[in-house]
Amino acid sequence: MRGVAVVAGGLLLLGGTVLIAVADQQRVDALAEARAAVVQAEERLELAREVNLRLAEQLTALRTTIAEQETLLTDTSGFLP
Amino acid sequence: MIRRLLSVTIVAAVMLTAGVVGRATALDEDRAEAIAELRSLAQSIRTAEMRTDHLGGSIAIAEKDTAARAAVLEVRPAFVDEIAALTAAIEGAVGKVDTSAHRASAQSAQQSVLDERKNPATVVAATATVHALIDKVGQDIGSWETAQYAAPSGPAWASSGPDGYARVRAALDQVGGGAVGLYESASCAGGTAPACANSGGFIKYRADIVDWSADRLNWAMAHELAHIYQFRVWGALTSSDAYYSAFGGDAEFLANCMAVVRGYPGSVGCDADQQAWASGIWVGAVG
Repeated sequence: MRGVAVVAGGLLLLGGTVLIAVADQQRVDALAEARAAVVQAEERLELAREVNLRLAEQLTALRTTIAEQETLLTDTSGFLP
Repeated sequence: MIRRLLSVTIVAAVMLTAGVVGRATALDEDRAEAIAELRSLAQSIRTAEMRTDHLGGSIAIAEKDTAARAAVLEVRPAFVDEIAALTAAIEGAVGKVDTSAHRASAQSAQQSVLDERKNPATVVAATATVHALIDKVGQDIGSWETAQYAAPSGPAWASSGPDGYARVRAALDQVGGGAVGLYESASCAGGTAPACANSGGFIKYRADIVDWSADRLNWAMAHELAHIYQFRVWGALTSSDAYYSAFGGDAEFLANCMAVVRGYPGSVGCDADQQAWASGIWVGAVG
């Protein structure tokens, strides 16, 4: 009788331990996954910002060109007064 | 012994449970933190990507604008060259033909060029307009010169000589007859009249009037020019009752009165009502 109780208790203990270990592992995995996603998102944001910077420079250059052209277009030298 | 062992086991189990629960809580908190960070990053990425789209659109518009302006600017020097040529033509026409209408057209073309930002065809069309204006000014000057120096047949002067002709010509120009042809002829009233106007739009003068005083010459030319203006409204004039009641149907009297109106009075005067009526003939209006 006692032997049966010891074996049952041992099995329960083992089962509980395995359960706890599995649950812990799942938490660890989920955390690692979330952190990986954060790193990935950070990279993506960085990339988008770089692209924006490049585009902004291009736009500024174009606007400068337009301003220069505007100066030439509004120039009335040589026109009849 | 068993009780002690049980106590130790229970304490160990409680501590172990506490440890396991604590670790689980800590892991959950870390994960929640990471997810919150991920959300905020996702928001930032969305904003950045929207900005990328916006910048891309702005660049496309700006590139289109730049290309259109460059195309307009490319055809502009040709227009400026034509304007310079027209300016020269207008300067050359001073004192010969009235270029105010040409100038106004050119200014309108200039304005359309100044306002144009997209379509080079507008500038090309304006260039063509200005080119046509140059041709028009040239033609106008040509016809003025023809009217100036060419008599219907033969030379403009005979015995009065070029200097004498120039004196009469200057008097006619002075009184506003710059566009009216002039030549020497002894045929006016069979040679008894010093000058006359014909309905062909020419004024003839007798050689001796080149020695007249400037005032008398100016009056004579204003008088003859008045006849030219009379011829232009001849039909309306001869059917006007006022012409007969105020001037007795006398074209010479009316011509004298018209000269008075222009500021070149001769020996014959006329009253204010007659002057008012006569001034209408100068602008083609028969009262």
